[in-house]
Amino acid sequence: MFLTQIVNGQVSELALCESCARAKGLFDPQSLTFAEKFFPEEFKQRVDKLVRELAGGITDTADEPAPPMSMFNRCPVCGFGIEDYRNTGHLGCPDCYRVFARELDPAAESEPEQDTEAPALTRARLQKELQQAIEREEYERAAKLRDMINTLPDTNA
Amino acid sequence: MKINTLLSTPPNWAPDRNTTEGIVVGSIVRLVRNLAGFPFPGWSTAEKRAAVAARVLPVIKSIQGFKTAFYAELSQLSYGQRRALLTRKQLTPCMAARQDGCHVIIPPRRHTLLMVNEEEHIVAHSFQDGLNLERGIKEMKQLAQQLEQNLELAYAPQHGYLTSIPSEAGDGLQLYCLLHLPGLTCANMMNQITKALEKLHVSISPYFSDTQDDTGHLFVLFSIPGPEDSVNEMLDSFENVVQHIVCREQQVRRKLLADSGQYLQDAIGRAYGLLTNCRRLSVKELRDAISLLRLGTLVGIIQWEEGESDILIALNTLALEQACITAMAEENGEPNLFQQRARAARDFLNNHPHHFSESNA
Repeated sequence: MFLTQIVNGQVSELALCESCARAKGLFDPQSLTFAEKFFPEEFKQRVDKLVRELAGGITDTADEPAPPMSMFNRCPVCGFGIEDYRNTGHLGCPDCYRVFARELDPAAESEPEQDTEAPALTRARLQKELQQAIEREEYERAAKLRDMINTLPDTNA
Repeated sequence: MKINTLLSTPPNWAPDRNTTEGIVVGSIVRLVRNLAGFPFPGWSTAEKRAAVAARVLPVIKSIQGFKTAFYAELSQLSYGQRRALLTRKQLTPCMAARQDGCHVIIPPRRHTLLMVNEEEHIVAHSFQDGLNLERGIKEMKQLAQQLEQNLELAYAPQHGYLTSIPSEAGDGLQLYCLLHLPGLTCANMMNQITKALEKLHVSISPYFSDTQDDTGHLFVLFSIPGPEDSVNEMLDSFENVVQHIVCREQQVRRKLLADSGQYLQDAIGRAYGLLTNCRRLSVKELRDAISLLRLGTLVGIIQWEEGESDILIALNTLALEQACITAMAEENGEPNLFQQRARAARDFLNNHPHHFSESNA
């Protein structure tokens, strides 16, 4: 993806691969031309911020303390990262709610009942979804769900 | 239905009656739902979006009233057509920027708009005349039931219906109102109102979102959902806010009429004069003049032979028609847009007999 910004005759050019563009919160790169046409001001601000970030490594949240880490940094189902969520406020898929549960509700971390019960509940839910995915012949999703189940702590131990 | 047929008729949500003295032009209830097992549209690929559409579209087609609707994939619509639908509130800004696998569905006789793969997998808007959010909520709940019977939706007991923005998860219903506020705008009170509303978790923005100004004095009021808020809890407080704004607008109108009746009559007269005699007319001039004519009608400065309600709707239709023509102009190769707009305004006044009341001067 290529972005060119001209401010007062000064040209800034960015070249990002699709995954990097997504990591910077630029979803759906196809739509950027539309964004430029429909909302030129907002688009300019967005690109400007991106150029500043990449040039100087300065972000709006630079002075903020780092939020607590979740169990996973990336959703195994859709590949959405916790940093993406912190940057954009969006999630990648419904499974992200479960994967980033601690990030979404830090209070849940301090409840011991949930810590002991969550893996078993999660395992049961994931196994049900795995079964459904196999029935629907969605093998790619099934494989991801299987990997998620394998990463959970063994509750029988 | 074809796109040209759709754009040549007033939008299916255009009000057919007026309440709250024409201040609340309409209410919108937005319903969002996502399918389980698919990435949200913003993080999805064209293939996944197509897979979502393949599941959702047959279900929508099976719902009564949607069989003969206008169906289009966004990639089939030109820039101009998207702009026209955007102006008519039959497409959201987020949706206008999308491409393959994203669909818009507009049924001809229902006051509903459906979008597949907007910010969420399924987004529906119910449009109602005046302040009528309860009816919209009822309609959207019925639609949600029909969707739920046939689709596996993303739901978690602790969050409710899951959305791409976690703070919006819950019952997946949001409330909007379209307001015509020429009094508050003329009295320079909109900044004050906006700041006050922020504290109440309500946002207000100009209706014509392609501009940052208050062209046409039309605004969209939006209730920002909190993490724990259900739509029923929001409804009462949102309606109270709307009633409060309506009340302030009425007070300001009365005050303008009492303290500055001549100023008001002058402003409305100038708008009338512009529309009667212009030979070239910009979009902003037209929208502002129509707004003042609406105001003049509501405070009794202009009297029409037709009913007040009919004329307010006709004025809205004129503004929307011209906005559509402007949006499509680039593609249709309309070289004389300013002249055409002026002619349409003059024709409107010629075709709707009226006169000024001198008693308010």
